Amino acid sequence: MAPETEQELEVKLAKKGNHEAFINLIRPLELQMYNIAKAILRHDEDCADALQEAILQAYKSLPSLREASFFKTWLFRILINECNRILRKKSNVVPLHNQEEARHVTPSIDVHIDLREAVYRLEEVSRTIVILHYFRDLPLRQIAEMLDLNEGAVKTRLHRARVTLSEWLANHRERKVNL
Amino acid sequence: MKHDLNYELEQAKDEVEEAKQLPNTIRTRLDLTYEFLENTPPVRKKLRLPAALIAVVASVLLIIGSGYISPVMAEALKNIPFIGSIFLNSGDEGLKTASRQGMTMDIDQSVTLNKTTLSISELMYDGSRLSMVLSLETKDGKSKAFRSWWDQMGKNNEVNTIRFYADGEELNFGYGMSRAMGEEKNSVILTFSPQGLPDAFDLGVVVWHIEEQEPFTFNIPVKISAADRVSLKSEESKIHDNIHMNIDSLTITPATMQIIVSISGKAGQDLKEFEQSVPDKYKITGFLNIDYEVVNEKGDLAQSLGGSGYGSDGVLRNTYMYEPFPTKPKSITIKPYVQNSGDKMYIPELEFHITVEE
Repeated sequence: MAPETEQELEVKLAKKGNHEAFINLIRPLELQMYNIAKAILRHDEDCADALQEAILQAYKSLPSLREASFFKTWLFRILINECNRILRKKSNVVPLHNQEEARHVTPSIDVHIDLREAVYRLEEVSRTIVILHYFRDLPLRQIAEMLDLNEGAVKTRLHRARVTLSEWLANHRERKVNL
Repeated sequence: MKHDLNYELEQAKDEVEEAKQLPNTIRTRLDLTYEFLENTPPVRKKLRLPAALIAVVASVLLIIGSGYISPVMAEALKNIPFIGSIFLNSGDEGLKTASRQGMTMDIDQSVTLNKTTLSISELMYDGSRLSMVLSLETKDGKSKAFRSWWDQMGKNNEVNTIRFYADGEELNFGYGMSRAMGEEKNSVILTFSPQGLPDAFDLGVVVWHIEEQEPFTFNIPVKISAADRVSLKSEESKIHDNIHMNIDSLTITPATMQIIVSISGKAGQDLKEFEQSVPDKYKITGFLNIDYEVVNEKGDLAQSLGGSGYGSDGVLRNTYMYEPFPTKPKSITIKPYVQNSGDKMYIPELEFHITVEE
């Protein structure tokens, strides 16, 4: 059997309740975690919440981690879920009756909405894929692992998202011109 | 102007700059989170014990009064089932250290006879002692307290027994049983100090209970844990009142401090003669009854974990286990004493002083 890597040892210790080992595993990933949260959530305060919740959630779920080598992927998966959960909560805040208002307001808002907003209006999984791939340059294979999808599914969603975004872009630009 | 999608995506990307450093607010929040973790009881792999044995811990500390922990998460943490390590929660300081340092083995073996299931879940062998967690569950799902199940005596004064075997041979060492605390009262920690066992062997554990009238048998491959060991021998011999004493060894691991003491009489004297020749003040009910205090250079007293011994060929050889000192000692003083109902009588003539520093 191959000798244990340092990471494998730390994960083993963390699973046995060694807080220090767990924190040692997280530290080198802090910046990357923040950058992913930032790309999805944009506001630092939300990012802080997401990081905190993800770390605590990960600690609680350590027993479910089987392979030490998957620690980073597993941790990022928890983080991404947490970010999306926060987004969902925030979008729920918009009461339904505001939609009437929104229709009137839409034309002027449309002018200022750029592609980023369009991305954020995509369905959750596609949105995550677009953000991680285009805004953070993560390879599709890694994204697939983090989202627990197979690479083919990720590619398909990405393609469909591009189509949606192109269409939106075309409509948006047209309307802008018409104004 | 033609805006193609890729161009727009590039533009959007520039707006979501990649940070090269964590902002202060994020740094602070991370540190607070780590601090919170340090103060929570550890959570680890679920022991494969039936649900009835898992109780809810309602008293997780929520320190950070500044409100940085979301109420939802705080609530969730409060309800973590008690799936912690029994060594870590109920063990002596040595076992707690062993658990934190990864010196323990997860066993997860269960044997069921009729309506009773016994399980061995954790084990620690550092060469100086062997400790294991033994848990009880009855079919009705009640997590009966281990001691009350164990302390039953049968008619004809039948008792329950536990026997240990290494590679098939029975081990003649006495063992200690300590209750696990709180929610885990259906578990006990068994500890004994094996002498002369190899680094790896097959451990047999046979538990006989009068109710079942059948043995619960476990076979566990045991390996010595990888940990720092300091092994010292002393050439010194001390004699007083015909008690010839030697410290055969002093061994220190992160989990256990162990001393092996040999006592004998004059050369050629057998044990019976020897004990008769020793003044009564050293005996209790006719038998030599010397215990040992172990202190470091600061005068700290090590907590005793028990011991066992045997006599043969005119020599009494006893093994004593102690919790290790929190920091590696520079020197150790072994102070023999006799405890006669409350009064402790030290034997300074038989005191040994051993330097540990390398």
